[in-house]
Order: sequence, then structure tokens, then C-alpha cells
Amino acid sequence: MPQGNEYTQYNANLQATMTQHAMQYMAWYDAAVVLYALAIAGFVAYWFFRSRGVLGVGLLFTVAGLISQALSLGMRAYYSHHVPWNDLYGSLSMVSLWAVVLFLIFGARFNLWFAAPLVLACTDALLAYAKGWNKGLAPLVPSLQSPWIFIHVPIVLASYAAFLIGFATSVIYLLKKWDEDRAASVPGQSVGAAVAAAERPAWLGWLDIVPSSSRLDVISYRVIAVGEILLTAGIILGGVWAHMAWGSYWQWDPKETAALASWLIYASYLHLHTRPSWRGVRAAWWSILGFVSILFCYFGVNIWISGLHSYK
Amino acid sequence: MSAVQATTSGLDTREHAPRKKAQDSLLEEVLNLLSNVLFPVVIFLIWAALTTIGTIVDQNQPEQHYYDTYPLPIANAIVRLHLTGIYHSVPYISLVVLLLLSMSVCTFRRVIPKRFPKDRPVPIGNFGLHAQADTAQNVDDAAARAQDYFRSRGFTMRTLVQDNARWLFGDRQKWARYGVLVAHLGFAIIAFGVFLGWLRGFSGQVVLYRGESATIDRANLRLTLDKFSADFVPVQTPNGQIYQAQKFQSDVRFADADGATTSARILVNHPHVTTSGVYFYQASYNFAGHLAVTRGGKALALPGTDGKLQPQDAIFLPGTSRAIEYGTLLGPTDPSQTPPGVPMPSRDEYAIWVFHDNIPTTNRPVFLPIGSSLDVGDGYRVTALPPTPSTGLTYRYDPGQGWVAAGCLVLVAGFVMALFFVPVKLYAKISAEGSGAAVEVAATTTKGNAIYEDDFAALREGLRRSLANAT
Ligand code: HEM
Repeated sequence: MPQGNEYTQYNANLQATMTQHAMQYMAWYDAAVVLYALAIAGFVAYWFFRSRGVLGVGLLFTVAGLISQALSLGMRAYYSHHVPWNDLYGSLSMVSLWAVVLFLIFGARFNLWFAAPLVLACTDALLAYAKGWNKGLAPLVPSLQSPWIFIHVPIVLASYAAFLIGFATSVIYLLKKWDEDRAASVPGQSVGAAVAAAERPAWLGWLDIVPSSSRLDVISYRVIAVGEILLTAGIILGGVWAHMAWGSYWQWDPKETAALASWLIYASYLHLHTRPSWRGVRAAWWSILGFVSILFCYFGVNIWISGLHSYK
Repeated sequence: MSAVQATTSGLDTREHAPRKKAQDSLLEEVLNLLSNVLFPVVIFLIWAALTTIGTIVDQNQPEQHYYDTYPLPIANAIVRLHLTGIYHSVPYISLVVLLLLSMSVCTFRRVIPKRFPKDRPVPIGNFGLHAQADTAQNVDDAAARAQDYFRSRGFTMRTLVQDNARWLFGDRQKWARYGVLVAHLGFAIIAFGVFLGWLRGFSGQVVLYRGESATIDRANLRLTLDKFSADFVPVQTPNGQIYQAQKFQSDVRFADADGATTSARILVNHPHVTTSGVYFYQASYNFAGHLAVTRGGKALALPGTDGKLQPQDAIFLPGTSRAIEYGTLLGPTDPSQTPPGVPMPSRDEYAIWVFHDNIPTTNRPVFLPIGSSLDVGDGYRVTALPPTPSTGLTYRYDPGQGWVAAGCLVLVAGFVMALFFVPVKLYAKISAEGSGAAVEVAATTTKGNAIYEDDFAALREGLRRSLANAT
């Protein structure tokens, strides 16, 4: 290596300060994990007390968690001189950041706060899990040195986050539908008698603050539509980047193909949703299937399958 | 002959009449199948399933690879079902063709009639969302008032007088109804672009050693590598220090058919585009070993001494049973070859093996620093010269990519139109009731009732208020 190489210098600085910086950004990271956990507690309390004050506490902790997580990502970017989502650790953290941001937006738009414990439990679990993948700071490999890393990656990660919220609302849909059917059926009558016989467990009392299942179905649809548009845009912008970096806009790389499979599953969802008979329960299961495919596309491909996208 | 024909055709008419009908209905059935939304959904799912298999099972490997990777029955299944090259297989491509076919049929038989319903009187009570408001005003006043109110709520209104009643038809965000068509058109344009690229495009790879030239006939270009350079940085990992590539750069001269030359610097993420639209990408690199052989102080031009030695290449020394096998380059020029945890030599050196009668003469490789030489017996000496860099460039010409890009934009635009906006169609019937009038309203959306329930409730209340205010 040529002496006095700028990268040597860069790396020397990096190594010297890394441990110290890593401790700083990890402190904010840990704080975010705890704050989100407190937020979950707040939102669970809201399930039972249903007062705006309790809701406010949950929201406060959520926003605090968001800020500290953003600080952690920002510091990581600052110390490494590049985007923080260049490896699995950074991207997992980014997904959960997006999930919280999108949830706050959808929550305000559709009054989705009842879904907060489920959504935040997922994001907090992602965050806690991501920690194990933190390999420290490293310079970017040449193929990642491109402005497209600012665009393609966050958009795809945002689509995952939207699908996560769609998954949560679909799961709650199934619970709510079960609860509605249970309430509608009269014991002794053949239809739904078995369902009715099963009394609703007390901890599911919060289903009373959940809007009707038909509304939830529409909300899931709208959230998933946002996710699908983001995924479409993300795949396309990835194609633009691949065109610059790899010599072809489509390489049949495992990440590309897995994303295509997810895209197709959600495209089926949107098509099926145009038919009344496929809205509701079937659509909810479809959304859960879609989310499983997203998990495969994200974890399955990153961790088990090697390809051009293997950035752990 | 003509008589026979006449008879036959006479027969035909009678016999064919029912058969023709049967054919019609078969065609009808096929068209119905193609225009059913479940059809693309099934295709999407097959497509997704094949794609997932392709994601999990390595593609385009030699058969042996599958037998090495999977247990025998699975490997057999993969090989026999031709799951080794899914993406370019006929069934896979047929799925897209089927989708295009079904999309075209669907557009005319389903999307257009269903999405753009005609303005005509309909039984209001049959709609999921319907309501009635009574007023003391006469029919004309009530109709005018209702129309004004709907307009104020963002509907474009049309009127019709029929059966002693006044009908109002309204649309909100009607343009968004075209979203489906736009999205589908986008998909068709992408498919066309991909097809065009496949039909008229080309791509390939060239490997050039420094100073070397190559001609790419299809592009009518001759290119020469003037220089290649690579940068690496040491990175601390839990398993020790590794060297990560930081930059690869090829300085290339292009000469076209007319002899005009241009120079280009090609880096990862910074391809070069020629005036004829051919893209050149930095794809790979190599540092080949360079060994010189002398005998009795005289240089020998032996096969393998031209500076392009790859791992396991051998130089056979004439008149002896001796050979030199090239191993690898170690050192700062290409530190990525240094195994983790092993200190990197401060100068470049080659790891080589010297063989005598097919047996290595040492039990460890010989490390030969650049510039130094080694006596290999029988009067032969081998000298390490600096490695020769080479670059691997990918080139591609794709006349379809503009179409693909345009199709992508259209697809996203269609998605946004179709998914973000809720077009609503309103039907209102104003008829005389007692001394006043009854206003019946119904609404439909392209996405079911639930999505518009709250707005419809507000619309109904607003209508009632506006009718009441008038009196
Ligand atoms: C892969 C390419 C395709 C894309 C990107 C696509 C996209 C879309 C979008 C965005 C919608 C609007 C959904 C909504 O408003 O909720 C839609 C609806 C629809 N699509 Fe597709 N589609 C594709 C292929 C097909 C095919 C092959 C068919 C053939 C039958 C089809 C039939 C339909 C129908 C029937 C509707 C609903 C129309 C209605 O109910 O008013 N689509 N599509």
C-alpha cells in the first residue's frame, strides 16, 4: 500500500477512536431499547385505562425512544463517515426506526394506537436482536460507495416497516373478527356456538377499543398499499443503482428475486382485495403470508444465502 | 366437385351452428377465465413460488454442484425438474406472457366496464352505502340544492331527468380510476423493454492486462488498458485484521471504427458510456504472477513467463523433470490475499512451489520477494518480477432499458393513482314525495364500502342540513 494513503490515515483515526465512540452510540441505542419497552408498557396501560393521559405517556416514551435511536444512528454515521445502514446491524436498526416513524404517522391518521404494543414489541425485538450483529465501524466497500445507498436502502427498509405495521393490523383484525363473531353468535345456536362458548379472556378486553373489523381491513389495505408502493419504488431504484454498479439493472441476485417474490405476494393481496369475498379474513391471512415472505427476503437472504447483497 | 362442396357446406351450416355456438362459449369461457382477477393472482403465486425456489437453490451451476450440496433425492429432484436455471426457462417466461394476455383481456372485459360505470338510473336501495333525506322543497329546488351541496364536497355533477324523477350523478377523483390502467400499462411497457433488450442487446466481459488491447466486434470498439490500480484498507474484525477493497480503477482508451479515440476512467459505480450507448463497468481485478527464468545467466522465453501466471499455473523447465508452480501474490499490492491473522509481508512476494519428478522439493511453499531470485537446480534460476495487474470489465448494450425505465415510472404513477386515492361515484334520485321531495343517495367506491363509510355518513348529514337550511 502506498505510504501516506488517505485511507490508512482514515483507518488509523477510526481504530483509535472506535471503541470510545462505539460505547457512545451504543449507549443511546440501549436507551432506545429501554424507552420503547417503557412505551409498550404505557400503551398496554392505555388498553385498560383508555385515558388520553396514559396514551400521552406511551407516545412520549415512543418519541423519546425514537430520538435516542436516531441519535445512535446519527453518531454511527458521523464516526464512520458513511450511512449507518451498510450492514445488517445498521439496517435492522433503520427498519425499526422507520416502523416507529410510519406507525406514528398511520397512528395519527387512523387512530391506530391500540396496535402500538404489537408494533413496538416487533420493533423493539428487532433492535435488541440487531445488537448481536454489530461488528463495529468499517469503511464502505466500493460497490456501496454511491449516492444510491442514501435512496435505495432506506426506501426498501421503509417498505418492510410498512409491511410490519400491516402485519400487526392484520393480526389484530383476526382477533377482532373472532371477537365480533363470538359476540354475534347466540349460545346454543349452531352457527358459532363453539366460538361463543369460549368466553373472551380478560386480557383481550382491549379489543373493545379496536374499530370494527371492516374498518381494520381497510386500514390494513391502506398500510399495505403504502408498503407496496415503497417496495416497488425501492426495487426500481435498486435497479437503477445496479445499472451503475453491477452492469445490469437486474441480476437475478437472491435479494432481488426474494424481493420480487414478496412484491408478487402483495400484488396478489391488492388484486384479491378488489373482490368482496376476499376482503377480511382471507386478506388478513394473505398479509401475514406477505410478511413471512418479507422476513425471508430480509433475514433468510442476508443470513443464509450468499449473493451480491450479502452485507452482514 | 362444386356439387359436393355445395352439399358439404349445406351440411356444415346445419351441423356447425351448434358447434359454432359451442366454440363461442369456449372462447367466452377462456376470456372469462383470463379476465378473472383470480387468474393473475394464481400466476403471481406460481411466479412467486418459482422465484423463491430460485432464490434458495443456486442457479446455473454444473449438475455436480447440486449433488455436492444437497442430499441425493433433493439433488435428483432439482436436476430432473430443471430447477437449475429457472429464470430463463420457458415456463417462467410464459408466466409473464400469460399475465400480459390476461391483463389485455381483463382491461376491456372487466376493468373498463366495472371502473367506468355509465350514468343511468339504478335501484338506490341495492347499494351498500345509501341514504334518504326528505325536504319540503319541490323537486327542482331540492335537486338544485343537492347538486350544489355535492359540488361543494368536491364532486363533479351531471344530471338526467327520467321517470318523473331527477337523477344526479357525481364523481370524485374520477381520474384515479385510470390508475389500474396506468399500472397495467406500466407493466406492459417494462415487459416490452425487457423483450427489446433481449432481442437487440448484448453484453459480455473482457479481461485486459496492463498494456493489452481487445476488440469488441459487436460494439465496433477496440480498447486498451493503460493502467489499473487498487486500494485496500486494513479493517479490524473480531477475527483479526483483514484488508478491505476500497477502490478499483481502470484507465482505458477506446478506439471506434473510424479510429477516433477517447480515454475513460472506469470505477465501481462509475461506468463509462460510449457515444454508441455501450456501458463499460469495473467488474473484477487480478494481479498475475510474473516470473523470469534464466539458465546459465541467459533469459529464456518459456511458456508461462509472460507475466500472466494464475494460481496453480506451472512453468516446465526444458530438459529436466523440474517445474515451478505459481501459488499466489502476498503483500501490499493485493493484501486481500493475506489470510486473517497472518502478518502481511511488508514487500510483495510470491508463494511458489518447486517440483522435481512431480514431488515438491520443500514442504512449505517458497516465498520469493519481488526482485529476488532462486536457484532451482540444473542451472535454472527463477526471478520474481513485479506482478501484472489486469482488469475485468463488463460491457452491456441494452436498447430496451429506456423503455424499462419509462415503464417503471408509469407503473409507480399508476400504483400511486390506484392505491392512494379513492374514487367515489355518487347516484342521487330526487322524486316528489307528498308536497315536498325525497332525495335518495348512494355511493360506490372502487375499494368497497368500509373505506368510505365515515365520509358517507358525513355526506348524508351535510346533505340533510343543506336541504333543511333552505326552508
Ligand atoms: C404484474 C402486473 C400488474 C400490476 C402491477 C397490477 C397493478 C394493479 C393495481 C395497482 C390495481 C389497483 C388495485 C386497487 O385499486 O385496489 C390493479 C387492479 C386490477 N388488476 Fe392488476 N396488475 C397487474 C396485473 C394484472 C393482470 C395480469 C390482470 C389480469 C386479469 C389484472 C387485473 C386487475 C383487475 C381486474 C383489477 C381490479 C379492477 C377492478 O376491480 O376495478 N392485473 N392492478
